[in-house]
Amino acid sequence: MFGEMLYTQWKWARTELFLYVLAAFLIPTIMIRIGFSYIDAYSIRSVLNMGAYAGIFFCALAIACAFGLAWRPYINDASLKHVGPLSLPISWPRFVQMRFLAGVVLLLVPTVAVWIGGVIATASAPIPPTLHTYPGGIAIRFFFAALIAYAAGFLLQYAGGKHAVRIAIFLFLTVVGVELAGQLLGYDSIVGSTWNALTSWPGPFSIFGARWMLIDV
Amino acid sequence: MFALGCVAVLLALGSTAARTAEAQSASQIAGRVFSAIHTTKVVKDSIELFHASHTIDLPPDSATAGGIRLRFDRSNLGAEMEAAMKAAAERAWIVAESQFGEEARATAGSEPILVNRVRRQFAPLVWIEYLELQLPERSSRITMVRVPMTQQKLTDAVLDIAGTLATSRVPHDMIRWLGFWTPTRPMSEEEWQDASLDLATSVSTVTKSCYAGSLEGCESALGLTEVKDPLHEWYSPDGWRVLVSEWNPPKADFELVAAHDECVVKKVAATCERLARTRVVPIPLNMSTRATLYALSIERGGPAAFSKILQGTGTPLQILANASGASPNDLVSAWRSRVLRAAPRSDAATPGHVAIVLAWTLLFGVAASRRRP
Repeated sequence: MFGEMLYTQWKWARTELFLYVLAAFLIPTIMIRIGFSYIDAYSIRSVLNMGAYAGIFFCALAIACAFGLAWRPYINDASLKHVGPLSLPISWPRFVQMRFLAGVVLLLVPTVAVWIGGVIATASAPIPPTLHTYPGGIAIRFFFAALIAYAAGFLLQYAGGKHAVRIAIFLFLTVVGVELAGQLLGYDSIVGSTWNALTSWPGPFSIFGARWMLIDV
Repeated sequence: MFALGCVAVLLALGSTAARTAEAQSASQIAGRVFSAIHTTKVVKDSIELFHASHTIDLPPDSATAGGIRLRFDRSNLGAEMEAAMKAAAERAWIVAESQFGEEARATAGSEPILVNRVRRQFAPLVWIEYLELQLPERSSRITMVRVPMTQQKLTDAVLDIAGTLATSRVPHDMIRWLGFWTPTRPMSEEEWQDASLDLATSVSTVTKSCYAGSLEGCESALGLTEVKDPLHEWYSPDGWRVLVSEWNPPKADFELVAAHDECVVKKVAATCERLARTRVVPIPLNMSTRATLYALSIERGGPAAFSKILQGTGTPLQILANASGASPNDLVSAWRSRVLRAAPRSDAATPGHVAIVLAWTLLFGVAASRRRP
């Protein structure tokens, strides 16, 4: 049954997966090629910044593809009022777990593309001797970052159901409101400290707080 | 009507002839100079008076923590903040002792720290609150702590004041080399990491040779050797070009724009050298990186290290080596190894990151399956 579910999700997601793969292949190479044409390769800090931009792109791609893969199956099921999943001879929690696992397997596709894209991008640029390239490291980070973002998106979608978007907007507005109120009352940034708690050990998104550098020391 | 009156007055003032300029006599100039001196003295006296009133109001020693003395008004600070401040001073004292060793009392405890809680109205119904820490000395700067006043922030503020006290005691050459600031705490891993990034990304040739293993290169990069022509001794022609490319000439100065392009685009070394000389040549490694060598010296030298720095004579390297109990070469070599070891790791996610991601993923996955549609 897991195989069939994986195949179904693959069919639903293959167009967007193709776009993610294309982005992972091309955008870092284009960024680095264009970037190197504007900077002096002898200026190591500029080269390092280029590596950081590529890293930030991979970080953003991880979030985009994680949320895309997390929401798509629920939206498709919901359009048919979940008749298919509920008529299957398995319990709802078991069904959701299989949906979750199928999405995790599909995350491997953009991960491989990120690794190959990173190799191509760094091979196309002159790297100063004090710097090194980390396409493999970035790919591993990409997978784990996409995994946690996927899990968070999946939780929001399956726990929030049809109200997921409203919950997301409410959370966003709460964050903005709390920050504005804090600033007006002379407090240090509350959002900043919450963000630090979430993105540093042992916060769930600590992997996003690590160094995302395609080219680093 | 009022507006019309104002316009009329302005027109009348505008139409009157401007005062004609005339040369001043020696007695007029002398009179004006004396008047200016008098005004300066009045302002200076009033500042001193203000500062003295600030100090007199506070009891001599409101609280002590280790060797650190605090002066504050209890009614101003409040019981809760007083306790927090004492706890912060105790923590700061432990850190100060680790840095200043035998000299901690004579340094961090040499002057009381004045603490004042300020509450100001920022807008209707909006009040801002902060804490001011300063030394009784008139010219000392004020360290401010904004809400939320955490233990960490209060401790840092006390250490900041302790740093001011330490800086005033360190030999001049040494403190000049350190950028007029004495570190008051051991360097964190992040600070070592920043030093590592500084070493790996500097365009200076001496820094590159230091990275490759030359101790002479490290000494020069840290500004520990005599330099006659920094541009030639620290940077290569490629480095000159990078230095020039870091600033943009004013667009109206066509000659300079052309020269800038000749250096950056056409890579003409002579032009780059000429333009690079028009600005201050940047030091190869920044002051924070220099501070890591100081911190290493303190760390290796133990409780007597700061005392040796205070009594030290010679070049900053000799003083630091003497304080650390090692030879200059050994100290610089240990510093280089430590900096290279601190390089940030981008190679892969750490096992800690992987474990935490898997744990949270499992938790989110299980939580998602609890609710039926």
